[in-house]
Amino acid sequence: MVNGVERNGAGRAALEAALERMRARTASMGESAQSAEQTTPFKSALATTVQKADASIERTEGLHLEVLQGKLDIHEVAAQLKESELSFQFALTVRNKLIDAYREVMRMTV
Amino acid sequence: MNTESLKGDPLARTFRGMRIASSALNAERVRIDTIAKNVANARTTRMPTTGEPYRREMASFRPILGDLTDGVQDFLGIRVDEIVSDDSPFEQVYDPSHPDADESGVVLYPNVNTMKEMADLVTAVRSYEASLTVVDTTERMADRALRLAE
Repeated sequence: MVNGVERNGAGRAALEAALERMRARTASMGESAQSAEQTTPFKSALATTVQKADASIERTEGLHLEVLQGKLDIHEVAAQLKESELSFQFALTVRNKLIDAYREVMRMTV
Repeated sequence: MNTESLKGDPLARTFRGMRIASSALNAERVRIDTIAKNVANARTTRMPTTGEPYRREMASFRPILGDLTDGVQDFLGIRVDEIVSDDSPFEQVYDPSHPDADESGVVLYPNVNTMKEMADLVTAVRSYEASLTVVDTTERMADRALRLAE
């Protein structure tokens, strides 16, 4: 199967764990309330995107069955699979960027 | 998936081209099915429903329009509007031995021209392939754009 769908569970868990760690770290560093306020729209937008990607992947799982039942055409499922894979790749890229930024900050000499 | 509005889905814009092309794939598939039906029935002299020879059918397309965004109606793709019958006259062949021949020995054959159907099939398959290329290209574009961030 498409790697995006296959890695769905692991990738999403890793992404959520990474976000959680970063939240905890920024909180422990005593970030001001104002800057926390500023990150909220991005955070919620990211969460929505991850949820949408996740929903899209879940929908794809159901599509396989619909093809086998003759309710859908194969090209439709193929396009949906590509869509899910790209959604997942997008979420993964954002996660990688976040982790890179975090590592960059941790490497800074105080 | 094609009837979804672009609102509320953050990545919908990215996948818009793919969804439109996917709807075109569906429509072209129906068109190809219609051509298959026409070719298969090219010698059907009596339909069980009408008693007449088979009438050639054609698929007509119409756009799927979604909600208004910024005063412009979303174009979400195309779908088959209806299957219309071709009213052109039947082919007349003199063959008194045919079971469906009339008193003067003339048999009516369907108004299907296999050459024309084949030409239609070529254009339908090319349209299908074109939409497949659009899906493929949209995917590659998004993939390449994501690689920018790496």
